[in-house]
Amino acid sequence: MITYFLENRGEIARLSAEHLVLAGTALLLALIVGFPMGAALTRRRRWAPWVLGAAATVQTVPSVALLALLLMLPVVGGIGARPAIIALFLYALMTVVESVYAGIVSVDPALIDAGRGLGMTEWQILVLVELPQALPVLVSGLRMSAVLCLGTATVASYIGAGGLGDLIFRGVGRGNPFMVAWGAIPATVMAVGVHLFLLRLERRLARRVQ
Amino acid sequence: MIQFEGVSVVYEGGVRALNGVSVAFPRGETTCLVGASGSGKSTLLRLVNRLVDAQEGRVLLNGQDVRSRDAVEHRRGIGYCVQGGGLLPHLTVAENVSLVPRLLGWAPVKAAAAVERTLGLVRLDPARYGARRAAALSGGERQRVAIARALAADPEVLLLDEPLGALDPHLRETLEDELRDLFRRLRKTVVFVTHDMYTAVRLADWIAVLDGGRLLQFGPPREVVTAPANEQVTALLGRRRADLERALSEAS
Repeated sequence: MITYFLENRGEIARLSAEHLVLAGTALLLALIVGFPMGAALTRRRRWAPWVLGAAATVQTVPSVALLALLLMLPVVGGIGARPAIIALFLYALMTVVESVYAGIVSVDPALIDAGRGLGMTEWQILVLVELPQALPVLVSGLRMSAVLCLGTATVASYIGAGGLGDLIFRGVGRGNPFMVAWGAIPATVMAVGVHLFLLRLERRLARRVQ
Repeated sequence: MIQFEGVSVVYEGGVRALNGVSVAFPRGETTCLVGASGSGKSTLLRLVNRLVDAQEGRVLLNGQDVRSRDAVEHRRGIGYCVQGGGLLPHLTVAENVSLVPRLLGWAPVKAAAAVERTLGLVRLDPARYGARRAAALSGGERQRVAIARALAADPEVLLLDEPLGALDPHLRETLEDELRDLFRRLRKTVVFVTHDMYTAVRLADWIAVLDGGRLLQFGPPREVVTAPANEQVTALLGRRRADLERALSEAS
């Protein structure tokens, strides 16, 4: 086990970095797109059940099936990192949109009324009242998306996207349990680390907004 | 002066909150709006800073129809404070108090001076309280900060919607006494919503009694207590007539 790590640490490190880039890029894109989407949805609440329903539907598609579908799609699909990032992005996007929406909707209406009564514009209410108040819920959503992305990124190896899934799939093929283990361990450590970090941030923020 | 001319408000879903209310609140004096929940007292207050617009009738502030002005600009010129204070918990006391000055684009120095001045008015030491987070305050302190926030840009009109409703009776009476003195000293036009006739008698120069969206009576506290316009007003005076009469003699 240790010997395997020492002999292959270069490759393990490279695949870990690839893994992190896959999940990180997808997450960043999901934030950039999902944040305004979630905020916009709170101004069009009649659409919310439809958008959130569609979001939930996308999330029920098994990751292998989604990757397989993307593999066969022209232009955006195919093999490699790009379709894998698209798949991870789709999963993460929905969690981000949902949490931004849920966070803003749960803000105490009395605070929004106070903001409006003091003479804030709708934009100022969003930026000065709703977003800071929604931040813990938002970070909670980000945490779930991050863990989901880091986990699902292992499967992305199936369409040639690289990452730690390479070690796991190859290890299974060769019947090498150490190889499988050294694919799984860094992925798990990263997921747990991100989870704990964001959980602490979330709790600190939650204390701030009460 | 705040004038209401035949004002009616119907909320979404058909609830009629106000029905043909005509009344005028004098400038520089405190008017308390008294009534049970659902009487329309909060709606009447919210008409003044356009949190609600009337379907019928007009609301005039110093002779100008409030609807002729941009709602956001209009609100920045009027102090507003609600039950519980509505302080933003993620901001400090000083940041909360300086919100309206900053919305108005005041220079930081001028806004800081306004914070000092208004915290002093509500008897909070700016040096001790300014940097504290709003969430770390007691109920009474929170109310004081909220009133300081409403006063910060030195508005001519103050709208207070049950500002002391969440406090225990003893603390409430102390703050009521302070507020009465403060309002008289600053000569603000104050509209103060309360469900408690005792509070109204202690604070008000004028009392407007509302029920079911209609104005039942408008007059000085003595008149409302000694000559209630009808049985509904009598019912709102409640069983504590002796308390009210004592408050009348204390307030005058």
